[in-house]
Amino acid sequence: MVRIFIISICAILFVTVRPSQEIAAKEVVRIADNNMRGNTSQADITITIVRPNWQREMEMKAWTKGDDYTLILVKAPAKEKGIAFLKRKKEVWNWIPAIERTIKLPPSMMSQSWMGTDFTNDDLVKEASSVEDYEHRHLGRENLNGKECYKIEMVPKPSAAIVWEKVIVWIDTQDFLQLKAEFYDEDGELVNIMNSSNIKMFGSRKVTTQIEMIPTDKEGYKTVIQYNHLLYDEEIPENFFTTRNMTQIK
Amino acid sequence: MFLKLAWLNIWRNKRRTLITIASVFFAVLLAITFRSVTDGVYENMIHNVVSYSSGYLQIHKKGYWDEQSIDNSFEANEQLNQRLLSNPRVTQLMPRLETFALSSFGDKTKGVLVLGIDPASEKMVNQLDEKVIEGGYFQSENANAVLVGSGLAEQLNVKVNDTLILIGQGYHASSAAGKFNIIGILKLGSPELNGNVIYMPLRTAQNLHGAENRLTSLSIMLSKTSDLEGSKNAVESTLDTDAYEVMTWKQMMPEMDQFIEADSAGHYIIIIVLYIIISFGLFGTLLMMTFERNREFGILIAIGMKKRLLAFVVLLESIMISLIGCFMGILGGILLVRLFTEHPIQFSGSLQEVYEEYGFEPIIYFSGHPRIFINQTLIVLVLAILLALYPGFKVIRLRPVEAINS
Repeated sequence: MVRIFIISICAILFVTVRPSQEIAAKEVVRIADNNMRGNTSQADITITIVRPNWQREMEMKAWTKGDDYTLILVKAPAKEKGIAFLKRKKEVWNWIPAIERTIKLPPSMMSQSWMGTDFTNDDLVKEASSVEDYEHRHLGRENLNGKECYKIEMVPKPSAAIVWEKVIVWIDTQDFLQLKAEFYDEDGELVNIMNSSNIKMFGSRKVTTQIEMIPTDKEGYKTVIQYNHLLYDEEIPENFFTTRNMTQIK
Repeated sequence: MFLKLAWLNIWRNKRRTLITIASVFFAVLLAITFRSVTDGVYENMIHNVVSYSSGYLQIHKKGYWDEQSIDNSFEANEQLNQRLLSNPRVTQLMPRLETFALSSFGDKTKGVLVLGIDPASEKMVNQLDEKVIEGGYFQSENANAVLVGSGLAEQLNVKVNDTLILIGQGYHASSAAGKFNIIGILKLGSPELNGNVIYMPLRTAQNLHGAENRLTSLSIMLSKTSDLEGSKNAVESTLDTDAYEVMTWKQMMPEMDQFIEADSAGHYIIIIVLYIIISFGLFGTLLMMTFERNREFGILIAIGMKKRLLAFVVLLESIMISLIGCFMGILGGILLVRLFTEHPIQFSGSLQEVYEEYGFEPIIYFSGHPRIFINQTLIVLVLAILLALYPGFKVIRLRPVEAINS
């Protein structure tokens, strides 16, 4: 009887513990992605551009719906207030109130800096597909700032239009939040490091609220995104994400 | 005694002497005029080019030249301006904010050079207002107005009073976008500039780029253009070289400096040919003189004049003639150059059009630099004296008997 009990305990332990170690790498990434994204989100963001001799802050508001729709509105500084970016599927539109023009960003501008930050216009468009467009592989576990993380290598599928040779992400085993990512270019050289920290609760979600983008080839350069407020899963109609609305939104 | 003898000898045959003096005179005059014209044309060309582009000297924030971005701009500083202007060589300062932007009108778009300028000082230095072929010049310092190069206006298909859109990057990665009223079309000499440039008042450019009171460069116009390095050092000594860099137009436009050097080399060849012609002219008169006085020399030696002394007297005569010729040549040169610096030669007709096409004034300028007078006169004088050794040599080799009987 006792033996059976011990065996069944072992079996239960085996069943419950084993899978948690063995969650597929793809699954880990999917959970982490969902944790940050939600169905819809509205965020108040402060972006700080840090350069060796100066730094600059911008206030923005961002709306997202699923992977396909994003609208970003600049609130401050006054000179740039009203500038808006709309991402719809694979297209990016830019509204500049000073010249009353909507510009569709051409493919040639995709690798250029977005609003003077260390992010490219391309990052706005491509950021979404970290689950579907990559092959994922466990590289074991690593301790990052006192947190145990899955270290996962993501290699783009041949069909995906991704400039990286590979991306390595660290996802925390407790909360399933991405804490660090390293981006390698096609020569296998590390070009960007993205650090996420400052975990906070917004509604029922636990999210990282500070993201740092550090290009490794430029000393003293970085861009910090700070989420001041996040609101998840509030219904946003699809016609909110139109070029017409972009020009009117306040 | 010898001087007096030589002096009397010269005037024994006035016509012969006058011919020799005249040949030295024209030699000096020709050399001076030639140098004066070539130097004058270069000086004028440099002035033309630098007054539009860099100025003779330019001050930047240290490191700007290697990375020409608006982030490497510096704060305009009235104190600095005053200190620079207190240098007597500095005649004008031209503050500028230079950036690149995308310009658009209708469905045409083109990358352009945006020059934020001080309308008043550009008007004074390079008469920018006179290059306006349509419309007008800036009326105020912060007008929301632009002047467009005619080549660019053609490509964008814009006219006066159209609204031009500019998009670029501002100071510290801010965005720079705005709509501007085209108040005039400019016809500039350099086709490259003409097809790419947009001028706007400095204040407007600073607002557009979010760079209040900042400049990318401060161009300096000089009164004395020959001592460029000296002026540069003088300017450098008045400012903090850790914060600013001072560059000469030769450093900023090495291709123009090299062009002038190469072109000068051609002129050196011409001037050497000129000296050779001058030498033969002089030599001819000296030869004639020696031949004419052969009998006289023979008799003088026969009655006991020492050959060496006779040669010395002949040399003195030649030097005297050369000096008189040079002196008159300088006088004539000064008068001629003065005349043409005050009333420069204007081209007319098709030649004028060609010059204007390339953005040069259709005028031949003369340079009145004292260096030219001194150098050219000295060269001719040395040539004359060297040639004057020939009669002396001839005297020493003279056989009195043959000479008397010839």
